[in-house]
Amino acid sequence: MSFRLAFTSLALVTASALVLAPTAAGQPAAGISIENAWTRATAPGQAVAGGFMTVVNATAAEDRLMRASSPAAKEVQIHNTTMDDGVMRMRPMADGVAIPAGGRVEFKPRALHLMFMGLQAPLAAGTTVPVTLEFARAGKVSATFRVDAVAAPAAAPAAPAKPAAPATHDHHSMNHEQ
Amino acid sequence: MMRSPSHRVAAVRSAALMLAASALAALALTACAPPPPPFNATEVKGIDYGRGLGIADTEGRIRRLEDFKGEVTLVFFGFTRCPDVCPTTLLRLRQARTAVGPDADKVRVLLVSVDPERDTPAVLGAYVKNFDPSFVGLRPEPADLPKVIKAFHAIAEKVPVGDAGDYTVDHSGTIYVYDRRNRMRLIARPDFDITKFADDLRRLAQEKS
Repeated sequence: MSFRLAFTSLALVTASALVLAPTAAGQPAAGISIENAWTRATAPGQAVAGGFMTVVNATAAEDRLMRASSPAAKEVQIHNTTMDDGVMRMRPMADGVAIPAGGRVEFKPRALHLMFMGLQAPLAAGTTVPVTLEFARAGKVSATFRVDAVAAPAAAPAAPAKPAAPATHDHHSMNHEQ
Repeated sequence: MMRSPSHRVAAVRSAALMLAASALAALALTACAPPPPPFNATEVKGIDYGRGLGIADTEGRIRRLEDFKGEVTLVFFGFTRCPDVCPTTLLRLRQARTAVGPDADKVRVLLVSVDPERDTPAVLGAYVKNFDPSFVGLRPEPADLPKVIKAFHAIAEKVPVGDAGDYTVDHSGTIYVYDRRNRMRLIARPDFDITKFADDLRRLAQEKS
């Protein structure tokens, strides 16, 4: 059953990835804008999903992402992933994330990310997830996260602006270390 | 004109030297056949992590390493509530497996759950198959988890998050690669280069089982 579901959604997902245009997801608000916001399709029963985006601060003052929420999940947390000595750790960013004046901060796999916790329903590829981001200065900024297919081989190049696409950007990574 | 004895000795000596030199060169060419190029991932030998271990798959069958004899088997720890690294790694493992080419079906990925309390067989099964139908989820009984983790000299630690009794699991990101004869041959980090890792896997897949 779950097997067939997985296959079916795989096919759907691949098909929808083809028509998915890399749209600009953010709406500028008070000098803070969100670019290339995306998440991944989830499996039935999967309780969480990661959210990725680039936050651009066009103002002359530092701002800070304090909170996030979405109708798609019971809770949206701001997390950071680190890997030390081969151990992967994920921690909430209790004090939020500073967005430097005139700067941009990437939320990407294996680094800073949003975590959708308690998904109300599986995220289907080709759909979008509305998210409200709350900044210390700019206040609430809405963003639309595109749901990418998990297994689409073209997942990486689907969005040219995606800085964290693993398939095309890791050619310089070393894998000799343990 | 006759050579003086000393001349003759010198000639013989230099001829012998030349012979010796060419013999050495020949030896260097033949006896030292070029060693196989190193793998991209870290090569290991004589490590028997996981040997004899039996862990239930998401259909409830006990699976052992030996069940995957003939396949290049990758073992990786994770859990379905890991929103970032685990999906990213599984996706990249899928990409590496696909990049192996015609021998891709000889490459098997096993995800061992470090959160069996929340990863029910149904959830874990749907999760891994969402990445690739060939991936297998293994779910140790919660009481057996420490033993499984220890068998791989790995780490898995629950860490509370938020205030509702929620937790995350810090865990080893190492990918253990076994050859078709169940010998652990490589260990890779989750940030492996997809193309180079696929080259490694293809080489192992083309070895005799």
